[in-house]
Amino acid sequence: MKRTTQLTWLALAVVLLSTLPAQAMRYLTPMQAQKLCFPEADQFEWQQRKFTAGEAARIQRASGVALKLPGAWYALAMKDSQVIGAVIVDCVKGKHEAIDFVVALDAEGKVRCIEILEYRESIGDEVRRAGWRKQFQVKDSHSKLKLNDDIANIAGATISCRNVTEGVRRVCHTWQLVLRPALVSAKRLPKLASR
Amino acid sequence: MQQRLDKIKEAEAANRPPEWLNQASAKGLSFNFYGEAKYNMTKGSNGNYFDPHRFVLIPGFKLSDNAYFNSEIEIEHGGVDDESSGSTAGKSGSRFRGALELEQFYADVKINDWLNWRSLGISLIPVGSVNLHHEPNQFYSVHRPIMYKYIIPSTWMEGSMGFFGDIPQAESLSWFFLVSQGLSSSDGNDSARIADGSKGVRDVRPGLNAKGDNRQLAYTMRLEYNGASSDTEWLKSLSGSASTYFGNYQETTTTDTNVYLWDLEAKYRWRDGFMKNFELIGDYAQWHFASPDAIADANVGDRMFGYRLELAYHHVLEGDQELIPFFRLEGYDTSEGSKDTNSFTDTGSSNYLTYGVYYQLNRHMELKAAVRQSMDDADNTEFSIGVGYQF
Repeated sequence: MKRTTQLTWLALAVVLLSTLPAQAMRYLTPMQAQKLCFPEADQFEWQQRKFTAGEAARIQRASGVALKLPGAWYALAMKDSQVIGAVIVDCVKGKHEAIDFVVALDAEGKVRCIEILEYRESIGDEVRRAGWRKQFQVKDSHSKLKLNDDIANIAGATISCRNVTEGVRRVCHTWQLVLRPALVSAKRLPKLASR
Repeated sequence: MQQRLDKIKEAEAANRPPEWLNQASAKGLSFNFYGEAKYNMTKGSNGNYFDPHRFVLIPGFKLSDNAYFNSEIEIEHGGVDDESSGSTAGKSGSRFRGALELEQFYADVKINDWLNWRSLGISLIPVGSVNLHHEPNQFYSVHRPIMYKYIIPSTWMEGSMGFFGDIPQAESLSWFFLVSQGLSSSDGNDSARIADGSKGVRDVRPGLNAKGDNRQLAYTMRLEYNGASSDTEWLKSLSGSASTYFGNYQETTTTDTNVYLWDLEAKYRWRDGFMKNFELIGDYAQWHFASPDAIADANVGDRMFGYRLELAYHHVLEGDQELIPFFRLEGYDTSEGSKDTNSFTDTGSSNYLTYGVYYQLNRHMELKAAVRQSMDDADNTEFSIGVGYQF
């Protein structure tokens, strides 16, 4: 096949592809993600909380991960007016760009699921794979949440895998150290028996 | 009434992403870097020397909701002497004898999860993991594995266009298809031919704006497996790929041969049991030349191959620190097989034991020390120390 013929076929393929509807790299909104994570919830209550300096230091110390955000934006998942969990929005850096994600925790702080909201690069988006995200289920602030240990790595997407793993660890500690105690104080959740 | 209104306003405000969240994921130009500097102590004619091997700037930009621009600008070996070619080579008094390269330059357009378009530009040939991912934290030795010098001529980038994506219904599998410039002898330049020894196919990567030669396009297909998404526990630690490249190589205006390269590699990292934190890597690549008589070098037959078999242990320290001793058996043979009718002399292969230590200070910096010990010629043994960065 002559080179000009080959190039004609390639150009034709690109033209045909350009007619396909393009998929944005924003996959879910937080509101869509909350329903995926807590389909049984009948109400979601969104809240914001800015961390005090002391809270930020405790989260960083316990998780070993630097805080990127000055506070938490999260939805309490409710059923029959009872808090059954929370969906917490966070972001980490991928190889070059930010990855927005949510971590859904049950009332005890165990991971129910994580969902990637927006992945802005073309490389490393394997962290969206459901099988990889499934590894986080039932992990909590007592788990290691460490890549190549209790979380398997995806070769070629190491930076995204590591940073999402650390982001989940940070969220688990944020819930355990700051968000959950506030709900306990407000008598919306019972105290946990100490482990 | 005012209290109820305030509560409604408060609830509405809470439903909107806070300003600080938007700022944290603000879009725009991203600018990243990787680089490596080395000091080599050799027994051969090169003696001992310092090499600021790579200094790479990586501008990227999110073009739209489904398109991302990526590029790499690389300064190799310290810089470029603008009189470093032709009869004035090395006479300008410049200290620089390196290269300035545009190593990547393309946009990826997402159509859906299983189909992305890589635009016309400069892209890495998707053969071998080290050619695709070659930041200094992607291999433990100071130098890249030697098969990635003469067999897979890393960094191997070409003017190209392609498609890639996940394979539908098979979450662990992804694919890549690239159409690129083919290999070229630069229109009969004797110094740029497929050759035995310390050349292999390295010199026949075409100039990125070469005119008049490499009249044929080349095609690369890669299939990659990543077991991390698997439900089967032991598969979670397995990854690997199979790649093939085929095209045509024209040595002179009257001689050419079809060329085929394939590469198989696998990596396994134990995450529990007594082998916990051990990592095993196997990699093999082979060229086939359909008409070896078209290649003038009498020491080049119808095949070339390269390999590596590597064992590493990850001693995990505090934070992100890791100490990784490794041991690798590696080598290449650029003189294998036979010619059709022309005379052929097999000059044998080059084999090495490469071993050393990789120390990761944190995710942005690593220190390396390694010996590449020749099993064939003591003069080819070298000891190197290096430092790598990526951020």
